[in-house]
Amino acid sequence: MVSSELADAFDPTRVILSLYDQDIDSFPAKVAAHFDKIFASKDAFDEIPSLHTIDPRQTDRRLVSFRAMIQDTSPSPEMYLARHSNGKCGGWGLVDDSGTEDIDYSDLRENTVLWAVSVPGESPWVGGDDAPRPLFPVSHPHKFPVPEHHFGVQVKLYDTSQSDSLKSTDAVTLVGILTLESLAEESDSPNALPVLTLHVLFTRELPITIIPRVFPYVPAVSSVRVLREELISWMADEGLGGDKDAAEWVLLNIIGTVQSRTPPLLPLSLTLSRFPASKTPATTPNLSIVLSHLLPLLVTLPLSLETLNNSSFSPESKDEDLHSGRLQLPRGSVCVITEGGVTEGDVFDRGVRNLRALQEMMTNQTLEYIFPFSRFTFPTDVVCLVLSEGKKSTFFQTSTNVRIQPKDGCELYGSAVKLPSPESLAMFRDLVGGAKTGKVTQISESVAEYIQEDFVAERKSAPTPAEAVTSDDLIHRMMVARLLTLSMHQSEVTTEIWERVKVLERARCERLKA
Amino acid sequence: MATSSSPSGIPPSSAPNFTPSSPSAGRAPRTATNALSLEDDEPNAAAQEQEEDGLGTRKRRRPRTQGADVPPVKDAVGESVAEAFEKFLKTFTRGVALAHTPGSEGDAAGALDGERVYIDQIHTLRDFEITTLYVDFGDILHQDDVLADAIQKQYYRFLPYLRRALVNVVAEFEPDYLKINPSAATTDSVNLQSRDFHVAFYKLPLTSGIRDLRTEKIGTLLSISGTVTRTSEVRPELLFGSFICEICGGFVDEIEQQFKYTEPSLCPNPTCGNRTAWKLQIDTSRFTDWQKVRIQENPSEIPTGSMPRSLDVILRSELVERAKAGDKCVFTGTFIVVPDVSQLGLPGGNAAKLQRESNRGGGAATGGIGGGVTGLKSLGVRDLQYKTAFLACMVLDTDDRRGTNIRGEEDTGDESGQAYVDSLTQPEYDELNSMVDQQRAGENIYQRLVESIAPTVYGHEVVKKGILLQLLGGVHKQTPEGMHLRGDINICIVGDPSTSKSQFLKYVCSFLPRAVYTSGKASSAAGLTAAVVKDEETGDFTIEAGALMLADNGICAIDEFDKMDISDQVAIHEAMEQQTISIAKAGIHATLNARTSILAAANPVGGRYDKKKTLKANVQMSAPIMSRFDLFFVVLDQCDEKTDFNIAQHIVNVHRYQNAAINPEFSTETLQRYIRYARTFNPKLTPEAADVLVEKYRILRQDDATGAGRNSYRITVRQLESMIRLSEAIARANCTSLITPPFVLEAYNLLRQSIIHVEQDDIDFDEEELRGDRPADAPTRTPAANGTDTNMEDEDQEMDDTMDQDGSSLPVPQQRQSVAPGSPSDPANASMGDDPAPPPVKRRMIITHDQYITLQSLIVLHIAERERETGLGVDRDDLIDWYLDMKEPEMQDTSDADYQKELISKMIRKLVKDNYLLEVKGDVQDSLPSVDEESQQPVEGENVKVHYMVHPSVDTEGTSFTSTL
Repeated sequence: MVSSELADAFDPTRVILSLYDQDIDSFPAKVAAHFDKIFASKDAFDEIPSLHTIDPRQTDRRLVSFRAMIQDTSPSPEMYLARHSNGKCGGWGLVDDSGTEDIDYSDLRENTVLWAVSVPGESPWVGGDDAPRPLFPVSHPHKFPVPEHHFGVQVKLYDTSQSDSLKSTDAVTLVGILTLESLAEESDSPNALPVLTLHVLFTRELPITIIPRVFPYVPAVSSVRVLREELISWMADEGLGGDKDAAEWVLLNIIGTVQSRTPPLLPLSLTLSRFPASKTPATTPNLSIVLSHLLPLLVTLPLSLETLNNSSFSPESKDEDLHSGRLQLPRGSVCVITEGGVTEGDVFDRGVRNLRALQEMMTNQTLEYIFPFSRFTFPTDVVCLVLSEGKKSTFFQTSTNVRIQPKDGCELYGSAVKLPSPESLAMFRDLVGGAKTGKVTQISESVAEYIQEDFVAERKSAPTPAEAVTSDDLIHRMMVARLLTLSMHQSEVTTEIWERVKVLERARCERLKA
Repeated sequence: MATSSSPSGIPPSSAPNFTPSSPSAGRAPRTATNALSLEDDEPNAAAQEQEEDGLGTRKRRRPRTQGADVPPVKDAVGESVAEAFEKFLKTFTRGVALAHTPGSEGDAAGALDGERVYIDQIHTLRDFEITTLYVDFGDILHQDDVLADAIQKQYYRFLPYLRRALVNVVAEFEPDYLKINPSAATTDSVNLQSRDFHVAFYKLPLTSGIRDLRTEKIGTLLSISGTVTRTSEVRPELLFGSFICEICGGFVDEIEQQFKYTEPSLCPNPTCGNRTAWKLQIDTSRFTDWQKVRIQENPSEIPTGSMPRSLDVILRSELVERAKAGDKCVFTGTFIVVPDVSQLGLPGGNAAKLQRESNRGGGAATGGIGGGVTGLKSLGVRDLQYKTAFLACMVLDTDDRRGTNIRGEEDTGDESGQAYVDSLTQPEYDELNSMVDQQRAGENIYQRLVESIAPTVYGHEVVKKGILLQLLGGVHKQTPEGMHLRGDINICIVGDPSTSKSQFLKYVCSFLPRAVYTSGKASSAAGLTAAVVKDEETGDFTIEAGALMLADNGICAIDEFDKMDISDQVAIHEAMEQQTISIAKAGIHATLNARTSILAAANPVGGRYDKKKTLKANVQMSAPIMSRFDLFFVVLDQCDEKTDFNIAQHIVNVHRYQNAAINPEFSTETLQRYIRYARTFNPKLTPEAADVLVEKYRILRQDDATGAGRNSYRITVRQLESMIRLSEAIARANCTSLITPPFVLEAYNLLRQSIIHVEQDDIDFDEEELRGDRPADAPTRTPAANGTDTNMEDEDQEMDDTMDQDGSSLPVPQQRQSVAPGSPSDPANASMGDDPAPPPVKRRMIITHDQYITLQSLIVLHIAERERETGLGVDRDDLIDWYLDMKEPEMQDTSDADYQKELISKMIRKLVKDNYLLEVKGDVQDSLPSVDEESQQPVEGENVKVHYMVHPSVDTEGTSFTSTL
């Protein structure tokens, strides 16, 4: 029974028609529930062909799944005839073949139109073998944050309860019927090309790590602590010239997420200062490559006067078409910003705006989208890592500044990154991903007391008021303590962790003074 | 076409076929529209109309895409609506003279008692040659709620009847005005064109957002609000077409056009049978002005995380060019759906070639593309899309909704309060209601609201109070001369680094949808105000909004205010007081609205707040800007074990329990609702409160004049206004429209705390004695009470600065500040410590700062007066005697006298040191005051004759001194 349903489901049009029960108000929800149930199991779900693997030119009305980021929710909703005049069901691109144009306006229902793109910055290992294949020409490059090959599809959602929950930069898997249609917004322009359109049957939210992870992680082989040490060593050796302290800071930062907005518990931002310039033509630091093996979502943003002055970091709506910006990134992304490419010259107005947008994202985890006559702030959840050659970042104030001390002769750019064994790599990913999904960290009463008294004592002993630790320092340490706990896959901040935080902080400050 | 029913052209029974006697039977109520273009609709329509007969039972209405306004079958309800509306127009009077003008010059200027408002308006229609009658929907509601209900629920259905009713009334009262050229009427019936009249409703009880428009709203009368983003050019729209059959030459008139070009579908000539070959007769067809406007949701209506929606609004005839891009407007009309023919004709597969009708959207329909709906079929049917639009009968620019409030979203008083309450869900309503009830029951909700503000920040009650009041705001007023008085409350927080200043700013930004956070240091090219930018593509200059403009009607939070560009500082004056920004650049002259409250955070000049200096000396800000802040708050980072512990606990708890740790009594959402509701009150002063206000202002002024208040800036009318604004905001917090004396007192206290905050913390007591203590105290931070006296040093300078009321005074304080540090420097104090007076004297010389200031100005004025009389200074002994004489009544015993004597001696010494007085040894005339006074101190001469003169830098003419005694 179930298997036959499953088989049938690959002809979604027929399923919809057979499900149809004249109750047009509840029908979209019914369709969503039906398909969601059929594909509830992972095996069944995996059988749905991914948009990446098929040739979209040959797939009219085929059932496909699409791992996507919602890019634009601004198109106006459309009206569709939910009940055709011959009593048949409408929507999902179904054609009214009744041959009459006498429509009953009370049968009109609203459907939402969105634009979705393949997930920006997705590491190749995430999709397994369904990595995007350039079969279909990229039609709307301005709707993708990074200048890379991608898919963009027009999405039509009929279950409006679903559509309200989809926001910009949400990562979801959309399952639906693929067709080729003209773009709703552009339909009145004479040269509108048809675009891939997905009539959605149901959606699945993607976790922040794209691939589900477990927290706390129980590795089969070694203890978390050992695994963590291995991970830090590998990161240090391959990406940071053997600097383990820096590697630990990087690890702590990349597992940061927005824990809460009120009160603001936001991810930290990190500057790796004195990061050597590239001696070779390669400009992508090894660190980016290392991280891309660990993280599902990683974007490298090479700052230069060119990128600053000529690209847009904030999304901007032009003629009701939301052009993407470099920072329109899905939740859980890590953005590596390299300042090495900045040369002498002028930063113009747009550059200043771009810098502000990025700074805003670092400090507040918000990004302004520009609309005519107004700007709207959207929440982000992106960790920023700045690589700077100077003592501190040229442009940004980050919550942490770590001066990197690579071993002599280490090349931080362009050299081949040695990968650990696939098993280790998988465990590294579990460790990092798990830590990123970890949310609640307990602090027991006694530890809380300990921290409080520590703070008071430290303030008291400060030689001058100006040198005393401030409440901001305490906030920062608390953040670090939380991340450190998560990185160890523990659920409780302990006094040892607190002392370790202070050690880390002290070492960091020592390096800065040096 | 499938079900063509009445093949013959002339409609026999079209309901609104009102006056057959009228020469051209076609008035707006489209006589001839009939079935020609629409045959297939008829049977259905008939059925529908019948079922619609039960008035108001059906919400939806078939909005036809073509001339289907007129049901071909008699619509009895429609008839009765027309009748009722006609009656309304003819009989409506307003009992009370509530004259108003809905933005049209043609509107009846005033309606006196018993005057028939709309009949008057019809007369003016003629006088001004306009064709739109403006009807206050409230009037209909008032007089005939059945009619109002019918119009509201089935507006699109009854529209033709309403217009016909109007025509009837015009025919009765201004019969000549019905036709465009009545004189020609008798001779040439072809040229006899009738006017199209329109009814514009306004003042609907509720205004919806674009997002609220759902299918069930189709055809109903409603108001929507939005910001205009694009306007099309004005084009002629064909309303009624006249056609000549190209086969038999027959003439078909009055083919109604709705949203697309529609030809007659069948030639009326029974023998002809032509369906396709038609020629439009431009001269006999009727056109109207047409404009399509794109509007975007107002920022306040967008749910967080969503993007603004847009909608097309169709404007016709006299409404065109009423809305300009950037305006926030309210449109009244109806939501309609039109098939999107352009979507058609996508043949399957990938060889996509779109065929489309170019004349969608009702645009210049004259370009003849065959066949209206008939065209659809030939294209092969696909899934048809439908476009929504809004057909407006009225445009109102919300920014100039008349009267006192310049805020679009706050309508006058209770009315909009009610509207807001209506928009709440039941639980929200219950919660708000209980809060208001508690308030009314005398529970101090004000205090509890304050405690719920910025819960992540530990302590700082006063600042939170200020922020609450800023969120509530004062009442915006307009003088009879049309000058706007701001109601916005501006606040500045000054304090040490890494205290919670920024957190306050961020809190406000997360709290208010229309709050903009910006940093004075990192303002972009558009800066805080606005910039003229050259569009890269078109080369046109446009105005780019700066932070202040973006925060229009909200709060602009400016961090690092002190680091702002000078040019921005100057520009911000205007914004803060006039609430506008002027631009004159690249040929663009514009005055833009920037009606925003400012919440600024500034770092002290030296990095840390120097409690030994005044606020003014601590903040690098020009006096004019300072005076435009209603409230100043100083936030200090003090090492104090208890506070430290509390702060630590607070921070740790935030991490332990997150929301639960800070768990304010009222959630942000609750507060937002309460504040929104509270903002609908426009409190007024009660007479008693006004008395208190006057009294308190007098006291402030006097304090100021006597010197006690000369701390941050001088008390002027600005502070009176501040006090009124604060009182208003406090009344709002209490959800009342009356400002009672306690509110004024609270405002007074806040203002005082704000003005003297530094001093109260810093100095207050311990006058003279401190000089001995201070050298020891200075390096370590002292608890708040252990203040300092030296802040007075700078006060006179500030005072002087405030005299220069223009922005150019900015460099002046800086110069003076460079002078100031000299006097309070520690060595000087140490030398003072050697004087006989200090440590040994066990009766501590403590006077409050206020007393000190009073005394100071007494002395200065006395000397100044004597100087004026005699041209000489005052002898030291004379001065002391004068003082003791004055104090005599207060003195009880000799120890008092000794005390007073000593006090005055120290006082004089201090005044000299602080450059209020000049000490002149020997004969006044021949000693020049060139000597550095401080070096003169060793001589505590009894024998040397000492004279005092007022230091030249002290301004005795200024009101601060003269008004005292």
